[in-house]
Amino acid sequence: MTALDAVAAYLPSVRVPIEDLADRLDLNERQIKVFRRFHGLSEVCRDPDGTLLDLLYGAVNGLAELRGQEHRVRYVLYARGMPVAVPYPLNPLHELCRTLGLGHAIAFTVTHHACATGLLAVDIAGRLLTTDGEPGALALVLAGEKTFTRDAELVPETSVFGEGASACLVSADGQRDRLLSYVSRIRGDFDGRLVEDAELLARFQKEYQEALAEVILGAVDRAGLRLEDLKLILPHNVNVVSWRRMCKRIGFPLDRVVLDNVPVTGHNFAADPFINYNTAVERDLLREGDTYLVAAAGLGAIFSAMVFQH
Amino acid sequence: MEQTTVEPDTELRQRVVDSIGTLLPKVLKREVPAMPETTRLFDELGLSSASTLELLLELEEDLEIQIDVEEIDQNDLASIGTLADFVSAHAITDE
Repeated sequence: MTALDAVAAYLPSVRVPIEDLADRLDLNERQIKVFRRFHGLSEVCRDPDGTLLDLLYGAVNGLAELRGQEHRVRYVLYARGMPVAVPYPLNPLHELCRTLGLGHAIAFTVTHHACATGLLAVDIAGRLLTTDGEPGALALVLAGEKTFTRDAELVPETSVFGEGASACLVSADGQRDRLLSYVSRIRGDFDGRLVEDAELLARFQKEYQEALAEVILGAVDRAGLRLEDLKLILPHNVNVVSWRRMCKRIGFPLDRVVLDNVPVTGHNFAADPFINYNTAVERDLLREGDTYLVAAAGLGAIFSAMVFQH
Repeated sequence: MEQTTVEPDTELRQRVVDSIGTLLPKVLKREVPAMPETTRLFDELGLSSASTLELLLELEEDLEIQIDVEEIDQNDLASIGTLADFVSAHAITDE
């Protein structure tokens, strides 16, 4: 059974108030105020001088469980929301593997589930390891991206991106945190650029709650649980207002959704759920045996949820 | 000075309805004729989630009130009338 053996998160130390992004993102004072007041967004973490590699190293360096275990890593998966990171033939992922002593691992990037790709990558890693059947084998799943274009900085009327990163060690047979279920729905009818298609944006906003609720409840059901059995929901950090509405819709207490990082770093592409996992562990919110749900949505659109047992 | 949430207030509610009528052209950036309270904000007026939130901010300034938005629900954003109900019931005043 797929398991998260260890999780590390990294947030660059530079905090940028969203007001400082207003000119570049063409946001007026009113839109900034809506972001602060209703969406709960305040700052984003950025590393203006840092590279993508610096960002990913930041997360992997926090993964103490990897030290001395590099030889067990069979796969390195990099989960990206934006499909393109660097111009060909640069390949930061392979450079990272060489530097970390993981040159023997099969390394590849996973995309196409946008900001829900982190969950997809964990699932793929577990499936690959299970198929191999090699005892003790591990996969390293990375997430986190640079905010290098306007599309990588802003989801119109919804969120602002930050540069947080995460690194997870996945195994096929670990004891913690065991993956109990995974439900993902692809909604290709939401394909397009929200920034230039007002009709698409309106339709996406209208149907978003129902679509995400469906996978959340589906994952809980597939895990053989009831919603009230969940100790926590680890959300994606798009904003607070959408989670407030979701909690009302599905009947889950808002104070059990780990939203601490929304005002601190905004939305970190595919890394949010794992950054929030780290926060939950740091705050000592999870006990052995607790079940929790991880949820994410990606533009394009993908809606995904996983249930784990700690 | 104590902050309290007032009960639905018909006088305030009417001011909210009037103010929405005044502010809609500004938020929608187009001319909007007089609309009945049953007019649906999303389907008929073309407001988005974000522009509805902008409308709430405009209402706060126009009416010099603060709106407690913690409890706001999608149903409250259904029509001009439901939004006026919500705002008049969740206006925070200083007493």
